[in-house]
Amino acid sequence: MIMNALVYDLFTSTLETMIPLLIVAVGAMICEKSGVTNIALEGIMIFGAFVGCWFVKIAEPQTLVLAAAQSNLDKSILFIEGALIGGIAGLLFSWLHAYASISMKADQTISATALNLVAPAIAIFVARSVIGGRHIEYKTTFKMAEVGALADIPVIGDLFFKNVNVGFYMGIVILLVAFVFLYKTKTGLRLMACGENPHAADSLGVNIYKIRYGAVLTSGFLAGMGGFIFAASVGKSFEGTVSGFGFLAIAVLIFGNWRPFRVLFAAFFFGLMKTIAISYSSIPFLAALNINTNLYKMIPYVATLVVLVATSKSSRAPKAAGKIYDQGTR
Amino acid sequence: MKRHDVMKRIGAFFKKIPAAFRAFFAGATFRKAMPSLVAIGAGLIFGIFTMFVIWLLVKVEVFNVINDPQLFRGIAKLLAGGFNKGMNSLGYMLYRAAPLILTGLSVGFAFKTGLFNIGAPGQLVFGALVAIILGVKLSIPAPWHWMLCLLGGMAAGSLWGFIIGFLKSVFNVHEVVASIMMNYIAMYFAFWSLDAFNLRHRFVDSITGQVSLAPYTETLAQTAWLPRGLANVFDGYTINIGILIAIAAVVVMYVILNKTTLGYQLKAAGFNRDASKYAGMNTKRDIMLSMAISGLLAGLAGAIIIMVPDKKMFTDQATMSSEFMSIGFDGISIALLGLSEPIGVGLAGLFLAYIRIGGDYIDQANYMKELADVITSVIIYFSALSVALYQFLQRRKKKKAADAAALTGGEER
Repeated sequence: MIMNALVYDLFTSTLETMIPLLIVAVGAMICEKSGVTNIALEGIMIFGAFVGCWFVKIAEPQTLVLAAAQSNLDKSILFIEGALIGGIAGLLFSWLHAYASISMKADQTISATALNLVAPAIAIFVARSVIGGRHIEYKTTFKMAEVGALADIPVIGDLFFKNVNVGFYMGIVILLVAFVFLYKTKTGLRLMACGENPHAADSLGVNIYKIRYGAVLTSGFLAGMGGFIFAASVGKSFEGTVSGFGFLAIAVLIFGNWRPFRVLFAAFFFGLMKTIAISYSSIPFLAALNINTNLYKMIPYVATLVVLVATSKSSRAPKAAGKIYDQGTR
Repeated sequence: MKRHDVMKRIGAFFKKIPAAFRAFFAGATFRKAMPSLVAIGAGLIFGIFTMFVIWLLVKVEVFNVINDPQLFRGIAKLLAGGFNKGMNSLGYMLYRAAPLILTGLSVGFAFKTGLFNIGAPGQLVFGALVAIILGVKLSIPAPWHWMLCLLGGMAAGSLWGFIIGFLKSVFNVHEVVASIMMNYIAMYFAFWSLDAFNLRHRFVDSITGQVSLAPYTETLAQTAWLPRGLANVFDGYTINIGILIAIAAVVVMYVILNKTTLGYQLKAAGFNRDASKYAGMNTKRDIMLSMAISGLLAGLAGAIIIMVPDKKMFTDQATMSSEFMSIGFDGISIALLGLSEPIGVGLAGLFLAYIRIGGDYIDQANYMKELADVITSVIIYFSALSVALYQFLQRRKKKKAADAAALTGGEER
């Protein structure tokens, strides 16, 4: 029985860790498949989390008692609103990357690096100037102890409907929508063509610039959303950092070899590693091994490098990713 | 008569200045540096504008702060930068510029050879880690100890860079992706090593005798600190020889890039890898070598940061990224601003340190010092844009000229 409870605990906290990774990695997947690399995800996540958390701070009930008394529905609505607003902030922020790398044909890695530098600087600067401290603290706990009657279903209830926030369901929906969009719609297939061979796609009348803009802004929206979901699941305050989750999401994408359901698996695996790194001492057989927590934290990155080496011949990476598209070079 | 002559000469000298200026502004160096200067100007204007907006918002009471910001004092403090407290703050500026210049050289050198070394943060952390291990564990006399630590840091950074180059040249793994992974591996590896090598500071409870571990390392042995002879010159600020090492590195990199066959070969590979391969150069070896040299510079920066009295490495991610890894990322900014040229990188590193110090002082005018980070990041964004912008303006100029020609042609008809 204790073992069971432990497994459920590990599982739910793995889900919690993996969801922001999944959402951001799906955004990165759409972006890269259109042929634009986006290593600005870290910065965009920070910006989305910053705006989203600030919104929550303003919109939530202003006393602790009232905040604690919110029903699951209230919490979920607040969460979704926060995520959407964080997403919109991320979208607007990623416009800078789209403008620089698509319209101005600047180097994609450089403009992304600039965004990664801008976001924490602005978040901390504005927070300190306006709120007076670098922390944005709010009072709502988004985690729902039980999701209505669904929590009573044996096993499944314990796995998916206890101790979760609504972000989990959003993540799954986003993954499915992205899959359908990419592989089952005309626009999605065109988008992938842009990433594989933009010149060929252009010659068939696809507007490369438009599609790439759309893809970068979508990834910005999802990254902003993921940033908020990260901040909302970690604690009740945002401190101007997303602890490298934006970069980890890129690793997830690579580990998942640019395929939606492998990305889901990769996100789960990385989430599990993060969870184990925190709570390995409560897992009997891992506690007996007594491996340093930092080695668990290292595994996702090492695994990604190993996968990159192993798949260097059979990589599904979009062929034109990272290359500037210029009609004139056709 | 004589006096008149002198005046005349002085007059002639001053008459020459505008011509010299013009020659300078028309010169190739200046034209190349123009995008960076425009970006710097844009960043500073953005910063000052932000200060104005905040001042205005407080003035019209959109939000309230305890101490009202003082606009003009703030701008003056920001622009005064490293001169705010005379020689003392100037010394502090040089102290902070040293690792920035080194990481800038690291990234810049990689750029020159056609590689994007975003892995400087990891190489820097690894260099700092080895310097700590050698600095804490060994006890040897002074000049040898700190020299050994520096060498250890360089070797470590070089190894970390080499791995990235190896993955790229042998397994075709893109260096940006490999770098990102190697950064995090370096960080967690460092945390692990601090435990594994017993480097963390121990508190011993005087009553119970219980030992507990601090969240930071021991400080280095005194013999491993960099010499601080320059402190007398800089009004008591404990500046060390880091800046001299950085200047030496600038000179060495300049010579390597511009005066040696090796530098020429590596640069050629940067221009066109296929062509240089066709010309018989070993491009795989070149990639590994470039990354190793690039990593060496970043590792040196890491060693310099840590080889300072009472400096510790903390065992949490936030401090690690703000104190060590961010310097590596700054290297990207500096390399971009300095156009990857060693001398340009030296100047850009000084500039970044200058504006950061200015940022430190603006809180005396009730602004937040993070403004300096906002300004530098805006500068980088603009410098990414400005090259493209220049091409755009050039095209527009040509188009305008063509339009004008067409227009006059039309009138004639």
